[in-house]
Amino acid sequence: MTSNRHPLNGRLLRWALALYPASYGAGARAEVADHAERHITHAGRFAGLREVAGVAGHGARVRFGLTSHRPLGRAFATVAPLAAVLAGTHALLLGWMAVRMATDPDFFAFSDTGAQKDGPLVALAALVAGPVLMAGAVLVGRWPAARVLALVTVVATPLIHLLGHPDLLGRSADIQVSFGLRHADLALLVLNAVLLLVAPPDRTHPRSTAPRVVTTLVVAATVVVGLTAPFGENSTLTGFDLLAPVATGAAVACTTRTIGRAALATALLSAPLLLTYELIGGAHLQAPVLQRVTVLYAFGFVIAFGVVRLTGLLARRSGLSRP
Amino acid sequence: MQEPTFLLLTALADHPRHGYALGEEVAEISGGRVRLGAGSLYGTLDRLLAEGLIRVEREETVDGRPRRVFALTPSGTDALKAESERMRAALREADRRLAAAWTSPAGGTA
Repeated sequence: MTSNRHPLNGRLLRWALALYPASYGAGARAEVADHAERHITHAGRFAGLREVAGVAGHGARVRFGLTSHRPLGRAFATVAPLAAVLAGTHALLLGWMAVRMATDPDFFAFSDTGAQKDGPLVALAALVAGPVLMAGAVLVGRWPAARVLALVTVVATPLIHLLGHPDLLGRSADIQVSFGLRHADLALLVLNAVLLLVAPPDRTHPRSTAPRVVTTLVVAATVVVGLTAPFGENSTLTGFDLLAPVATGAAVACTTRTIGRAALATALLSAPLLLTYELIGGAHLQAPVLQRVTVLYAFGFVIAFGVVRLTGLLARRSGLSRP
Repeated sequence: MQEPTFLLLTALADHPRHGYALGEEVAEISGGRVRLGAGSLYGTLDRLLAEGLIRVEREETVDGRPRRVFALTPSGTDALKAESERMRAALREADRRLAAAWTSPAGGTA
């Protein structure tokens, strides 16, 4: 049926259907296949590809236990908007730092030619645009667009990095040509985008305003960093370092109902950071840094969890006392 | 309750339907605004099944096509009624405020 119009989509659909595990049931899989084939038959090439991507995503989530009614799927759905917002604000911070470096007349005085400065700057702008737009799409509730931008971030970041080599990061020790951007920064952006991409789409719509609160706080911290931090002191304690863990802890407390779910969400949310340091950074995470992040996160979580519980308790009491 | 979930439960409110018909019904109820792909539709149906809001009433094969026919459970009916009442209350409040704005003097209150 599909092969008459878009043979490629038909082949891709067969591969997508192969992602479903046997435990899903042959009948249920045939039903999904029939439904998708009918859609593809009547759809254009790109709408057909979107249909195939939807089936592949569902099949993969079923296979790996990431559907919205499984604990792991719910945890991914909880952290997805937070991860997107954190990636976006981190990208914003990187972009802001790069612009400051590029516009400082003294900074490039002893560096290379203007062409070598502009090339990396354009590449850097392309690298940070995806995560920033992804965070924006999440905040305005445009989830399909946010998922497309997450996919773009995951696919395009390594490509731009490769195309930009060696000007952007090939000489990563040379801050004049890399604008302070490290491999670890790129990995952090990609891994956070993966969290959004993997999360079940029917549960990723945040019910609370927690992600917006996180954004406000983290963007405020980003602005503080941008305005106050002098060059060469990015690694010192900044507003971003302090506020991001507190705001994230508060957001997780507002979006989860139990400690167990909060712990799972925390593990997922911290995975990109830990993986980045362990695998890409090539250095073990320094214990004091981890302690500081943990304490700040716990502080935000405990305060917000207490407020949420107390508010619920007071609301129930006022409901009971009402005639 | 998210809109696709509400629309799916609404599509099942009058009588049971199979997956493809549910997708068509959701598009019709929403005026073509919400179109669920196979991945989204069956992902949501799986969740509603797991949460006990819908059940598989029967399985059948029509023209060589296997399909499950879904129906609302009592819990699903209650959830739909609760959501419907919540939306109705919000609509009533919106109407009341709009009416008050139209009948009050121009400029409104300070």
